[in-house]
Amino acid sequence: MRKNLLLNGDKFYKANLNSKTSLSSGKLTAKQLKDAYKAKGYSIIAFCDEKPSLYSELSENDFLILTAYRTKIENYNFILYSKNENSIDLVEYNSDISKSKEENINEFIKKASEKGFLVCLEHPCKSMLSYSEIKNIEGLFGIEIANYSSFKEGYLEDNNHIYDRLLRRTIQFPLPIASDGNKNQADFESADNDSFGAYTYINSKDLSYLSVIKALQNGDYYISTGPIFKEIYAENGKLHIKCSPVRSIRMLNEGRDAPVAIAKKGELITEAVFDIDPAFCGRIIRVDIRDENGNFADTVPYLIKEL
Amino acid sequence: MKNYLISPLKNQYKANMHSHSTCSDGKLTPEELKKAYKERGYSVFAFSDHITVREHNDLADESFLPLTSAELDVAQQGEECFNLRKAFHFNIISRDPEHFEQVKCLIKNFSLEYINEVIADAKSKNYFVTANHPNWSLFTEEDFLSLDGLDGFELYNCITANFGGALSFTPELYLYLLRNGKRIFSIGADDNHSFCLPFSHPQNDSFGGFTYILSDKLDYKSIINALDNGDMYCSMGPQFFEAYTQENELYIKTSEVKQIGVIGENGKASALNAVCGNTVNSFTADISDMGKFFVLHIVDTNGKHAMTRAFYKGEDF
Repeated sequence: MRKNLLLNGDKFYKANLNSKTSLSSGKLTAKQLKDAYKAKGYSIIAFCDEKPSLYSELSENDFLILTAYRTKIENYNFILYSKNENSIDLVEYNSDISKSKEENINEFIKKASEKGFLVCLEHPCKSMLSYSEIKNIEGLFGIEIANYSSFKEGYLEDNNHIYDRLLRRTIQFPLPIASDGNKNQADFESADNDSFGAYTYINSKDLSYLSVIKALQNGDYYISTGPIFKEIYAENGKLHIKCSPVRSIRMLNEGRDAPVAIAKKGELITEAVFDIDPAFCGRIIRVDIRDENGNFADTVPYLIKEL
Repeated sequence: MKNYLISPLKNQYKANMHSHSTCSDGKLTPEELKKAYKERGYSVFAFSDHITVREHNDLADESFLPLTSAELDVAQQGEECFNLRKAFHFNIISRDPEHFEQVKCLIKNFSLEYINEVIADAKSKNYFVTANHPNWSLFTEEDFLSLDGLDGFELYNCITANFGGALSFTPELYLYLLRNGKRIFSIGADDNHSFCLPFSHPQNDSFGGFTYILSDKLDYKSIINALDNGDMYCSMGPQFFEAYTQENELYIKTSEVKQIGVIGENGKASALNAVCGNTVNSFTADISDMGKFFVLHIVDTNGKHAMTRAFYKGEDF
């Protein structure tokens, strides 16, 4: 039986899930950012300043502002997405000296989740967070696999390796996120501009706040720094992938080796079919595609037993 | 005064530091490998067939230097598919091309303690030791941190990317080890077996990862000396031509790339980006606040990377 893993008859909405405004380290106002991203084909943006504000008045029928804010705890940076469009009740961090740093942070995430936030770990590479400092953090909704602003600053913010190590260890794994984290200190035309480079395609039935939050929670999306997924489905023990022209298509899993299709020199490929063998793959598979410029797109992890 | 990190006066010899021939599980003979790699501009070649150190000094000529070496491995035992079990492979490269002792390594003796014992034995027998395809090993950062005496770290391994399908470039792991006090140099390698795939096949495992070794001369002693001094860097394509510091500034000259970057021990970074569709080839960076060390990194328009070792304040600049 065929199981579609992307695009269940609904639409993809292009989202930047981490944008800084002039209220914090960003140069542009929320309105300027909304206009710029809308003009580039985006439908969703989250303004993630340390001093949060509600921007629901900027939302339109074809553009949604996600209510969010950013906070720094020790060397961890978190983006908190509110499930309630009109509420952004800040979550207090209590440092209990009788507990470890990880325990205190876990308390914070638990409290944030109870208050209706999805908590995402921001740019772990730039924050110098290793796998060993993330592995005991519990309750995360997401982890930024790509952050375009970090890329531009010179950090190697492709966190797929750390993410795979987390997947091998945890049952309740966080989902991958890609976002700009843009501050726009350089103009849009500048080589150092940090907008429009890392995004999330959200597969939602409509652009209502609740539908988009639900899609995020369900993992109905994929992340990208360039290439596009067109179709992914599982059928009769095989995974079928169709995408924009890329250099490689990989079916990453819990193991060391991943079934891969690579284009011949000077050519590109747009589809691949791989066997899904649980004995080889373990519990989880996910798909990574890379184009001729090194830009990549990744799906969320899929549990093989559910395919 | 200029402190050269990458001197333009030295030759950059292209090296494949990890390969397999018909002496173990590779498909091509040492002679065939020499011909293929020499034709593509390689000058240094480690014949690192499994288990047994072998010399191929008869293949040496004025423009090609074989390194006497072997790959040793240990693997976690269990019922699970091998794909899901940890394994650790490491190359040992003899500092003497002719006189060397074998290093015993039992594949089933999987433990971090045993790996450390074998590395220590290899080092006592005058070998340069490199950790191979770190991501493929399924080791965590903590596993690597508990290994002592490694000289080199394969930042990129071609076969695990092209044939095995993994995302092989692992700078985050390398930086983690450097920041935790490990002094390890950066290596790029093919680990080519050639199996049943011709060189033209997209999944062929040759010519994708290499090490540029900076040396005045192409003789065994000079190349080993360069390896011991860390005069080399990992590349998948782009090239550093020159790098030096002068007071608080770092000057870097490279092949055409889309980004030139410097990453500091303290988490600070600095980069020059090309406008979309263009390239850059030189960068001057402020290094007054990079902590105890920095590494240099470049990425070209095809997404291919090159990365140096760590350059330490008070030692290298």
